Amino acid sequence: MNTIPFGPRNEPPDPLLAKAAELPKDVVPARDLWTSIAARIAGEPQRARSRSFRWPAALAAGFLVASVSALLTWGLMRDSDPTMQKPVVIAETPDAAIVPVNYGANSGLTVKEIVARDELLARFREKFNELRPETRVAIQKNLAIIQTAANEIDAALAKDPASGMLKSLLIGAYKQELQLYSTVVTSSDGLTRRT
Amino acid sequence: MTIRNLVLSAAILAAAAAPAAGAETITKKVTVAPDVTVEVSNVQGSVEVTAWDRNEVQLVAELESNKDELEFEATERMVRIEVDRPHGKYHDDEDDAYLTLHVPRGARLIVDTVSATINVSGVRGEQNLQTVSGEVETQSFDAPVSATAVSGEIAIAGNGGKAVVTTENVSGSAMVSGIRGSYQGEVVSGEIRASIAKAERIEASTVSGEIDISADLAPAARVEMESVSGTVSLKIKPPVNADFDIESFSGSIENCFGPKPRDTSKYTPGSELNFTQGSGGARVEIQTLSGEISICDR
Repeated sequence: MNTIPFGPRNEPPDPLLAKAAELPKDVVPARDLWTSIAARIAGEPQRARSRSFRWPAALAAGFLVASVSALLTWGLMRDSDPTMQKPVVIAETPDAAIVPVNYGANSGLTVKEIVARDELLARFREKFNELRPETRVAIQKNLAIIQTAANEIDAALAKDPASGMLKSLLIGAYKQELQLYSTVVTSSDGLTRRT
Repeated sequence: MTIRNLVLSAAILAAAAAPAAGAETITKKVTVAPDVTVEVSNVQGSVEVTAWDRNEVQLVAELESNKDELEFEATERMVRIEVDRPHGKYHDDEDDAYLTLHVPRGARLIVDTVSATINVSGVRGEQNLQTVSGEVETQSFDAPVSATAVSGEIAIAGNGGKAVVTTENVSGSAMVSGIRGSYQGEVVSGEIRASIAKAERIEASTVSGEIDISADLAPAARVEMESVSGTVSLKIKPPVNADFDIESFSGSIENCFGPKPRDTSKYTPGSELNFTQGSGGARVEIQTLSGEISICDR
């Protein structure tokens, strides 16, 4: 007669699973990212403090940023899990050649961080076509390099989601993307148009 | 605070009313405080800044395009110079604007350009220099120096002062030499080559580029370097007294101090290396996803 086991099984615990259970569930980032990102999006206020201000341009820029932000936030809030990044919806633009970095499902980047990136990206797109062709090529090439890096990090995070090193590298790639956009925006704005 | 030159703060719009008549040269000089803040913005061409022993800012601007507007605004504490191109495009190589400035040695300098080169000499105040595709060349003394470029090159020559030097590149290179104290460098696919004396703090990161840093470490120095797929090389001048914490997910670690890296798992290619050289004290942390790490004392 064959015996078919059923019900709860009281097997001895797997030592590997027990070790895994001891791993930390969360890794606190090595540094607070949002402070520096917010400063950049705000137009580097510590440098802009002494500069003159043009209200019409500022109001127009503010309206544009608010509109883009609202649209992106609405789109993202429709999804069920507000803490994880969803695929970034890139609006139709005259220049489709700029492809922002898509951080994978394991990145842990928040909606707030992605919306912040996209607000900066919208201002970057306005300046991109004014750059020299070779500079535009260099930018596109380096965005592709950051994308490759983000993909590699995401694949590694899938294998080792608790790795503080991988999270740090992912944050580094994200910062590099923001830095690229920020440099173009602030340099192209000049002193008087900067808000 | 007395603002002696407020009367001079009216903008000078140098857009030529006449049709293109070749380059136009504009000269301007104002008396300022020794630690005046000088802000300069140019589109393409060059910004040359030289320090002198006068409390004056002198500008000689040569504009090739009659579409460009030059704005000059000055108070005792701040001078603001901007070349503005209202119609945007920055492509035409014949439309350069050349700005040549003399500023007090202690001036604080902020320069932004799109494709104009930035060349600074002898300025001892804080410098914040940024370009998209131009090149940046300057010297550091005791005040902080920050240089940013997307595709341009950066060269910073130290003069033994204890400055905090920061470089940020995308595809260009950063060459930093002769500095003392702190350095922070970031690059996406370009390269960083830096030599730092009596280093107290070094932070360097790359995505796929190359970092090559030579330093002698202060007793409590902190060094943090990371790459995704690029190469990281740290050469430390003997005697070396430091605690090392090196980690690689799937890349390689070369260590000429002796200890070999150990595998972090039987099932993954990761490796790590932790050891103390000499009496320790300084702390070196380096990590990579798939790049190469090399640490050595020569």
